[in-house]
Amino acid sequence: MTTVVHKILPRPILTAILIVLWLLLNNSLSAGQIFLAIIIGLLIPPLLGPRSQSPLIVKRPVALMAYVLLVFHDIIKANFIVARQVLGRNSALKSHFLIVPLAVTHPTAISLFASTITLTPGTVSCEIAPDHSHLIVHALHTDDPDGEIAGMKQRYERRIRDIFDESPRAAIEDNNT
Amino acid sequence: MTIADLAIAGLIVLGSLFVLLGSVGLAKFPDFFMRLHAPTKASTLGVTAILLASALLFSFRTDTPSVHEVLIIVFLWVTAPISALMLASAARHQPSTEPDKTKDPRQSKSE
Repeated sequence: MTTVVHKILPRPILTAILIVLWLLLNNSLSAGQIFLAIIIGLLIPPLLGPRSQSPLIVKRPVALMAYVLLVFHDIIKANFIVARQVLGRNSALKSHFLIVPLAVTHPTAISLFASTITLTPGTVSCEIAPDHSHLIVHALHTDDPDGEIAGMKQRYERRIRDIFDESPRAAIEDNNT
Repeated sequence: MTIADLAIAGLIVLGSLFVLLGSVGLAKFPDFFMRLHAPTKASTLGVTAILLASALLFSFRTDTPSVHEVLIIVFLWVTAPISALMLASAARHQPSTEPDKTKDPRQSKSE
């Protein structure tokens, strides 16, 4: 019985999200739209194939909310910083590639960290090492590359690990530099 | 002219300024990686402000909350960093055709 349910609904949460998204996109709660939403919610998840990883579970939703607010605040700040750099002289900018060792291990956590780096002040993540040991980040302007790396690990990565309760990866940082 | 109109107008002006800034940055920064910075941040926030203005306007006009815009904002914010990452990765694996202003003492490391 459970296997039948599992076959029809391989990812119940994704199904629910798809149904809600479809209804929001159409701004309507008519019977026809609900019917379409359910069809979409049932059709798409099986097409995605089996999961390659166990899902990452949010252990501390409050920490996640706080993180979203922090990142939002930093994004606004980032825009004023970038505005100043756009209007300033190019020659005043010292850009660098930074190599940021990763302590988070789960792909979802890494992607959250990398996206945060891209959206926040002066940095864009450029590449994730194939073995997930480090990120390559481009900084538009920095006087202190090492301080910048330590800063983003402290400000974002520590919080992400807290949200998902991830254990830090053992000394992989030393092997890769 | 109500307060809502003022807020909507303000958001549109603010959003347009940010989008303009993103475009100026795209045009004037000296190398590919630096150019990536302006559109990922400024344009994303600019478009967000314009979409918020649209959501407010149609919510007031029709007296029903308009939520498409919020969804667009969410999709935009989720996808912008990913497209930036893809562009940057592609650029790193491509021999550069323009002078690279970014100092990279460890460039060979990524290969």
